[in-house]
Amino acid sequence: MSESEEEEKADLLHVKRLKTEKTDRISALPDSLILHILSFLQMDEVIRTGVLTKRWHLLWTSAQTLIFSYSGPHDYGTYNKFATFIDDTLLRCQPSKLNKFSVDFIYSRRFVRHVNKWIAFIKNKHVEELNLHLRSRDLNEIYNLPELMYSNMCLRDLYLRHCNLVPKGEINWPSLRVLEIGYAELNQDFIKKICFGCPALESLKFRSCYGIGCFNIDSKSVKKLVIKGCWDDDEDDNEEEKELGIYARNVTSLEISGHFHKKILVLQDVKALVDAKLNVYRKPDEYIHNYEGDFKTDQNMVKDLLVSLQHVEKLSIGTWCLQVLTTLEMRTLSCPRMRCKYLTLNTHMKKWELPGITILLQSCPQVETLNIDMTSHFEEYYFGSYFKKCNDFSGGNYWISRPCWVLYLKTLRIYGFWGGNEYILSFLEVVLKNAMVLEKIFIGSSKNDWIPTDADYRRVANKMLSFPRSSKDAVILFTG
Amino acid sequence: MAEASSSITEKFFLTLKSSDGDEFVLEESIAIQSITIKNMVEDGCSSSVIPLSKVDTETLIKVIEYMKMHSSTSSNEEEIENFDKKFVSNSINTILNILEAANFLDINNLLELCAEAVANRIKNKTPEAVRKIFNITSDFTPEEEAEIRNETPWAFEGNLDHSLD
Repeated sequence: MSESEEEEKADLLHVKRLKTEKTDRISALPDSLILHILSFLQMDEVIRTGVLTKRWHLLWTSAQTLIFSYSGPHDYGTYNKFATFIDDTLLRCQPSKLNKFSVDFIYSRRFVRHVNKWIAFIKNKHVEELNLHLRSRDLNEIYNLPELMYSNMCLRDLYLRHCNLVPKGEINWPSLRVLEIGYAELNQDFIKKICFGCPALESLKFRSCYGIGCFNIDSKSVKKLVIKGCWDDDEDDNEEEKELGIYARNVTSLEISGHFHKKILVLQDVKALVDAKLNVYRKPDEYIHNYEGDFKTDQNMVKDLLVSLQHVEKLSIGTWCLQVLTTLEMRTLSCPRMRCKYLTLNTHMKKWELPGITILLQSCPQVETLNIDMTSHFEEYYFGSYFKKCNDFSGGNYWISRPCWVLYLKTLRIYGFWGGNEYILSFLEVVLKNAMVLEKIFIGSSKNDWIPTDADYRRVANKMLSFPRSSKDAVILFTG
Repeated sequence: MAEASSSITEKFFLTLKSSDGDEFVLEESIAIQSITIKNMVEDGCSSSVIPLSKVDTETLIKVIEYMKMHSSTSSNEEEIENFDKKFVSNSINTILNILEAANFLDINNLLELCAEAVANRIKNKTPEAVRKIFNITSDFTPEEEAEIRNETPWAFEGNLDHSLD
C-alpha cells in the first residue's frame, strides 16, 4: 500500500469511527443480546429501560433472569410495596423459561403468601438458578421452602438464606450442581436426603447454620465442601462443649472458616482431600478459664485437625489457629508433621502469631510455595495476661532463633506488604538466608496499604539486597 | 524464554479476514477460543483465509488483543484482571461492536465481559441519562411515557443517577 493510500484508509477509518460514536448502536442489537445485557441488572433497572423507546417498551417482559433486591427504608409499608412490585412484575413477565430467579428481601410471616406465589411462578418456568435471601429478624418467622420445590428436574444452582428446608419426603434434584444454605436450621436427616437426592451435586456450602452436631457428607459427587461458622440455638445448654463432626469421604476441597462458638471441630474420613482451608475460631463465653493457662481444648482441636490434614497438598491456615499454635510452641509441645507443598498463611504477622508461624513452617518441611496473606480478617486469641507475661519474647528476633525452615521453598508471595508490618522484613531476611532453591519473591499490596513511593521501594530493595542469600538465583518482584 | 519447552510441538497459524478486507495471522491455539473458529478448524475449512464478514478491522484488532491476553500461559490472573478493566473502558459503541463480534465468534468470556460492562453503564441511571449515553432518541410522546412510568411506579422511585459517566 502506498503512503497516500494508507492515509486515505486512515481517514476513512476516522470518519467511520466518528459516525459510529453518534449512532444508537444498542437498540440495533438483536433482542437476545439486549436481554443478555439486561441479565446483569436488577429488575427495577430492567423495567426502567421500557420507557427508552417503543423498541424497548415490552422487551423486558421476555427477560429470563429476574433479580429483585430490596434496598429501601426499614418499614413495613415499603416492604409491602416491594412485595407487590414483585407480584405485578411476575404477572407481566412472559419468559419461555427462566435462567435465574433471585430475591433478596426483608421477610416476615405476613409475606408468606407473596413468596409462595413467586415459588409457584418459578416452578412452572423451569428455573435453573434460584437465589432466595429472605432476611428475617426472628428465628420463629423463617420461611419454609414449600413441598413443591423438593422435586425439581431443572434446578442447577440453589442458594438459600434464612430459609428452612423441611422436606416431608425425599429430595429429588437430579440436575443440581451447586447448593448453598445459609442461616438455616439443619439436621442430619436433611443432609442425608441431600446426599441421596442430588447425584450431580459438586459444591456444597453451609454458612452460619445451626442445630446440627455432624455434617456427614456421604455423597460420591460432592467434591467441594465449605462450612462457614456453625452454632447452637439452645443457649441454655451452656455446660458442655459439643463436638461437631465433619465426614467428607469423597470431598477433595474443604474450607472450614468462621465462628464455631463452643463447638469442637473433628474431621473424619477426609482421605480424598487435596486442598484444605482452615480459618476457624472458637469463642466459648467463659474464656476466662484460660487465665489459668489451660489451652488444652483449643490445642487438641487444632492438633487433631492438622493430623487429619497431614496428607493434604495445599493447605491454608488462619490467624486464630496460628495463635493456638503459638501456645504449643511456647509450651514446647509438638505440632503434627505436614506434607503440604503449597501453604497459605492468613496472618497479620502480629507478635503473638510469630511463634505459631514458626512451629508450623518447621512442621511443613516440603513447602515449595508459601503465600502470606496479610489482608484477611484478624481474630485475636485470648491468651490472658498471665501467659503473655510469663512467655514474653522479642518479636523481631524470633525468626533468627529458630532458623531451620523453608529449606525447599521456591516461591514466596506476600499480599498486603505495605500495611506497615514491623516483622515482615526480618521474616524475609530469614527466608533469604534459609531457602536454598528460592526462585521468586512477589511483593504485592492490598487496598488498605499505603501507596509506596519510589523511596519506599528503594528502601526495601536496598534492605533486601543487604541480606545474605542461600539461593543466588532468587528474584524479588514488586507487583501491583 | 519460558515457552522453549512447549514449542517442540508444531504451531499452526490461521488467517482471519475482517469485513474491511484486512488480514490477520494468528496462532491456531489462540484463535480457537472462538468456538465458531474452532468448529471451522475441526470441519477443515481453515486451510485458506477465514472471512469474518460481520467483524470490522477495528473490532477484530480488539478481539485478537483480548484472545492473546487470555490464552498466553505467561499472563497471571492479576495481569488479566487489569487488562480486562482497561479493556472495558473503551467507548460504549466500541464495546457494543465487540459484544456483537464476541457473540458471532462465540467467545463466551468476552461476551460476558462486554455485556456486564454495558449493563454497568445502565445501572442506577435515569432513562434520560441512558438515552444520552447510548444516543437513543425517544419516540414516545410525553403522555405515553408518563403512562408507562405509572404502570410500575416502584421502578422509577428512589435516587437515580443523572450523570453520564
